[in-house]
Amino acid sequence: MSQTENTKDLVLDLKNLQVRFETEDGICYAVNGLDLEIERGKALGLVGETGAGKTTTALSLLRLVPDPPGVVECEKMVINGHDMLNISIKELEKIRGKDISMIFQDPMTALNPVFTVGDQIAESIMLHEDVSMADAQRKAIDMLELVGIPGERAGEYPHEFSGGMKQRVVIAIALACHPQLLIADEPTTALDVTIQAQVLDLMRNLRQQYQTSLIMITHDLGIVAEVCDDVAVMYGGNIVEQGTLEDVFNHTMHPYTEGLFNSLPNINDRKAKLTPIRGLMLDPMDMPPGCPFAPRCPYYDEKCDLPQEKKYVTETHAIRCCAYERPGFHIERKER
Amino acid sequence: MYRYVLKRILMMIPVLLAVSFVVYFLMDLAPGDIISSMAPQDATEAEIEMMREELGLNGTLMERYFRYMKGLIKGDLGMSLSLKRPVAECFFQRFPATLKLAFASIIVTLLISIPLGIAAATHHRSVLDGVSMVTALLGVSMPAFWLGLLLILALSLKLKLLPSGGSGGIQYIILPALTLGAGNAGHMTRITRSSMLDVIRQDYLRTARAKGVSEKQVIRKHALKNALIPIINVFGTTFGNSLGGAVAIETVFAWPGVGRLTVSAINNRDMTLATGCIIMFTIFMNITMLLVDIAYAYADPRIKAQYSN
Amino acid sequence: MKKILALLLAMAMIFSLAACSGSNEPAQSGGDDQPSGEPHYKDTIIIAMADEFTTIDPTATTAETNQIVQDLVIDLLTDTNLNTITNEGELVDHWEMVAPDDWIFYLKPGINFHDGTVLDVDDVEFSLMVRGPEKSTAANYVAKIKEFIKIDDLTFECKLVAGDVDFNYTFAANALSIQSKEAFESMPEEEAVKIGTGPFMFEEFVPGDYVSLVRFENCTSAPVPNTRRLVFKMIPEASARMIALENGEVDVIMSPAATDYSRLSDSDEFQLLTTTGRGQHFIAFNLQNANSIVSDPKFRLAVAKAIDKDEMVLAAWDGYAQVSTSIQCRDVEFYADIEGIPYDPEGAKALFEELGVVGSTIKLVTSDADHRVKMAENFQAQMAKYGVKIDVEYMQQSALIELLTSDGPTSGVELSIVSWTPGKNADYMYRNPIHSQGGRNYAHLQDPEIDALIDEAAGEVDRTRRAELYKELQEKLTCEIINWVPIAQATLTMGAAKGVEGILLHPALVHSFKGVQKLED
Repeated sequence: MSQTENTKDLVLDLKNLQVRFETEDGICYAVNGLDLEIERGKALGLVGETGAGKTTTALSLLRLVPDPPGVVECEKMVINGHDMLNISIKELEKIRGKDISMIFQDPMTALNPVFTVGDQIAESIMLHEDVSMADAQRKAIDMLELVGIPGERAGEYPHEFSGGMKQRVVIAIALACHPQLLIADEPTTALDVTIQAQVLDLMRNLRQQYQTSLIMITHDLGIVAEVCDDVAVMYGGNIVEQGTLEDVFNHTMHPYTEGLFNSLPNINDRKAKLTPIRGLMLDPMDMPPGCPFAPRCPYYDEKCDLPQEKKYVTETHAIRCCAYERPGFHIERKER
Repeated sequence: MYRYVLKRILMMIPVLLAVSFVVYFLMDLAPGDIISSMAPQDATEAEIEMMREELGLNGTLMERYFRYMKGLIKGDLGMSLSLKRPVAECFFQRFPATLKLAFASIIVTLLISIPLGIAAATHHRSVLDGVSMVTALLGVSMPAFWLGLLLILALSLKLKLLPSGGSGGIQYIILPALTLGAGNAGHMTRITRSSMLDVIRQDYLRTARAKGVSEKQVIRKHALKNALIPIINVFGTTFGNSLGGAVAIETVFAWPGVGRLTVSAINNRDMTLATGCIIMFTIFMNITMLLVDIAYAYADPRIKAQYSN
Repeated sequence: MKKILALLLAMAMIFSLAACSGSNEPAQSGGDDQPSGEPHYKDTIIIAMADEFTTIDPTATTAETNQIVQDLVIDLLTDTNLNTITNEGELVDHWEMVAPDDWIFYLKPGINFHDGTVLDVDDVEFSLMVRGPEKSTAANYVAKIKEFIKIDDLTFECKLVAGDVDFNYTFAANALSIQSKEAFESMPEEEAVKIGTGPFMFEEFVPGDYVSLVRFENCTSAPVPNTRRLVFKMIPEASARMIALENGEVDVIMSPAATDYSRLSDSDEFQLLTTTGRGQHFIAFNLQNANSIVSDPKFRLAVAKAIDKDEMVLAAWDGYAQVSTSIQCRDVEFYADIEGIPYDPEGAKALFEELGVVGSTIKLVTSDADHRVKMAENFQAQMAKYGVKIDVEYMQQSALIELLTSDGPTSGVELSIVSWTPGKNADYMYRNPIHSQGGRNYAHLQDPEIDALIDEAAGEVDRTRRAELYKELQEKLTCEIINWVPIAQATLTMGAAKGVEGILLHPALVHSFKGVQKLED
């Protein structure tokens, strides 16, 4: 990512995304002015706690945010060259699954129980490619093999598969039409660690094979380290720090990111107490006027109550933190 | 699967035995007997005794019951005491009419409740939802009797479009089917709606949309097929109940079905006919539920897996 | 998508089933078959019945609905003339009572059966003495005949077990219908039973739906009807019957709802036919209940005085009933126009006070039939004015009969509201419901004097003496013993389209449709 993006080959160009949910109890500000750019072939890790707005951002890209009560506004959204803000429903349906697809968090409920696995994959193929039913079925079997499931099982139903295998099927469906951008929303959270490794491996291989760009939504920094090229840390509906893996992990700058790293248990120092981020989680119905992290930030001063602006520290690394305007300021977490 | 079906058929037998027992004894316990309604007013004791023997009503309750059961086990439902014809003949003469009405009314029910229920669910909390729920409530609350008479007054008397009762060609079945169907539709609409509401929340619909499936197809193909599963069950019980003969409908429309036959048999204390009709109803109800369960298995592969184990 | 297939299949099934049964539809009207210049009569008359017709066999049941239809197909030796309400010969031309236990009957010649044979004494002997004793409905009647003697083809003699001055009435029992011996010898029983001498022949029967008859062109027992076809449709719901009449779907309706009477009688399109029914509706006391005040004749007198019968008739039948003064039905032979017990509220009040029943509760049982409920409610209201509370219990008809015929002293019954419909002769009025040996003695009257009167009147040959005896019975029962307080005889009604004629209403519900016809212009 850089300040001048004209020459970059962007799969996703998103400017100023705002999503709020208007309910009877009040307005919930889920996403507040988020910008995002993904280059072709790159993987971005979108990190943050539950409720930071990660899933909502992802759903906005596919226009899957539930329409009452959700309101989505943005300045620019271009996916693989398509201007998403000015297309019809029909065109949107063509893009979904073909240019951009999504893998959801819970594989147990992501598949329709009354259709066979093969049919569910084939459906995606039939929707976007001009092939016969028989051909689509054949391609579906190929996809199954690709994700490591024997092709003979195409005629079986979801309940006959384990959690890990279901997730593979979901991946097969998502990648069946070779999308340019894949969004994976916590794909391994519901799986155990050994399966997790397998699924991540699979995703990495497929990415290499098809040059698919990836947005990996997760709260697990370890996964980000393994899979992603770039990282964006979200808090309170916006990205507070973004950059390459090297930037964010080794040259951490934002206090919230520091807090995240600090709360990881240290395998070398088993006896040490965990240091959580103090204070309570943000209530998206009750957003503070300035930096959303201000109430919990150990480096707070009054300037933090003003709206924060995105500033590029290097060509790739950007943060939203006014503390760095103070001379000589740095968070405790040192450079590595 | 075949073993499951066989098991179900075998399970019917104890059910039928229990039903015949209960009905026979209950009818006997009820005060009054058929002789008083059938014998001429000036009958003497001797005549009444002769009538009793003629009808096989002599002897103690247990003696009579065993005589009845001996026949029943061979498949013989006995002779109707009031109609003096074999029970099976009396029943099957009128059963086709009941069957026709049951089919016609279930079609009406489905045509009303499925679209309405789906529309209510997909437009949850809108005016359409409210209207369909109120209509469903009306359907459930209106007595069939009343609705039937209203329809006769409107469509038969005022508009002269349809006959007021009886049977014959297709025009005779329209009003009774409408009445019975609309009455059941109230219940079915609510079930359809709540089933759809459950399904609409499901994650796999989101997966479908993310694939690029159109909203219409998401509802019609992905959601509906899942929503229909509990609906099949209700459909089965509703249909099965109609097979017992919808007595109110049959009375209002002079429809020559089995319901009226059973009720008058009970009122006349015609033990064999009443017991026979109720046994036949039990059999048909059981068969319907078995068919429903089989349909269930074909609709939901998870259930089919259960049956095969 | 399998669902849609299933739906389509079901719809296809319905349509094909419905189409197959299309032929069941009874024809509404047909063309005429009279040459022009002569009056045209409607080809088919459709009559809506309230109850179900169940069988063509006259020996199977005694239900009036069945009898009405059977009457048109199968004749009796003697029957009630509905215009004069006396017993006359139907298949019999005349008879002689040689002695009370010796009767000779002469059949009408040339009476044709539907199967082409002619009526003769062999048919009568077969019907009475061969079929009769096997059927419970007929056995008791034919048991009266000690010996049946064929004198010639058209004459027979009956020697009776006991003298019976009204023996001719016995042959009016529906169970003693005359069937064709030849038919029973050549056809299976279900078919032979349909053969009779009546003006109509059995055509078709769809149980629960309708039964249809067609004209017997060679009928000699009665005038050949002008209507070619009669259809009796079963429509159990009164409002539905009325609508069918208004729609023109039927021409006649039986048992119209009381609420439709004015519509029928006031309209230009319809008519309301009425006759006084032969059912006596009364309040019965359980004379054997020693624990109850009802066993005290003074109480019974008080109740008889206390009831305003006109008010009760208005409440229960909307005025469509005839108030009774005597315990006997008006149209039964030897009815005596006695004074009975007139309405006397003052006298009743005094008696109730004297008896000390003011403030007490007395139980009443009756059936849940509409008019009985209204009678009971009205009785409650009227008695409440005297300070006597009536507790009403409703039960099903057969349960009620069982209760009332159970043992008098222990049944616990005090009051009941019931009815009695006699047939035939005067003895019928008293034999079963009042005689101590009777099977329907709801009041449990055990009075040897009354028994003796009943028996004497039944056997008395001299008609003047008989009239005196029955008058004495009526006075004793109505004014002294008061086992019943007779309230009224309900009016029987039928509705029909204007222009329908020839229906004869029968006080005991066995209406005659032999001559029903409608002129068409």
